[in-house]
Amino acid sequence: MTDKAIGIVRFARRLRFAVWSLALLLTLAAAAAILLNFSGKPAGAFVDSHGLPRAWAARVAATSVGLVLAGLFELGRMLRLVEADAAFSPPATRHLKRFAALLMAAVLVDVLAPTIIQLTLYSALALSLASSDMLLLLVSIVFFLISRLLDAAAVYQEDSRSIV
Amino acid sequence: MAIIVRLDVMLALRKVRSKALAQHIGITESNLSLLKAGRVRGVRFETLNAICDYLQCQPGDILAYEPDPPNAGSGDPD
Repeated sequence: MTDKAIGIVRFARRLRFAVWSLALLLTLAAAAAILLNFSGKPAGAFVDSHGLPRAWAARVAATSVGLVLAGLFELGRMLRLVEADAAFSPPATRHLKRFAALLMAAVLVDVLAPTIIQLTLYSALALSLASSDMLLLLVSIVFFLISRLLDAAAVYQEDSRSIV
Repeated sequence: MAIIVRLDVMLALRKVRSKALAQHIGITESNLSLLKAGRVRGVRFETLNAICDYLQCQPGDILAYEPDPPNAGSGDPD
């Protein structure tokens, strides 16, 4: 393994630990926000209710966080494959695609679910789109592109391995 | 395949072991074995250079072109 490859493996390992830590923090923060905000107690963490009843807002927040957590889990699995020198393997690409899809789904739930619920409950249409949502959507699309690039890189790697 | 690898012949002529050659070239024995069997898609000039240097031979001593017979792989043309 070359020095560059060893560096990539170390970076992937650190990033994987960061991903697991982020997933843990996100779980705790979301659980605290949902439990404390909706029990009426003052809390440091809060859930953006998007003008929805608390129960619905909690469901939307839980779904969105759940999707992000599932995405982080997929990213962690992909990074584990990078550590095992299988960055361009089909499973690694599959995990990255799932991560991108789950990230996109989380953003779409966060943006569209409140609109749909408001439309159902109050027959009122209100769509709120934050710049962070747009950015996350763009990032998830970029991850899809990267997964396509990994597919192409796998072909080059196979070629390279069969040349001695 | 029209390109034939004759590395095993050169190794026998020079009385050199595959392990020693692999160490000199800087590739694994398994890759050298694949090369000897002709089961590779290509050979780097760097590898060829190292082989020729170690075995004191020319690339033509290792690689040969033998055209496939015209009907190879197909049925009777009649």
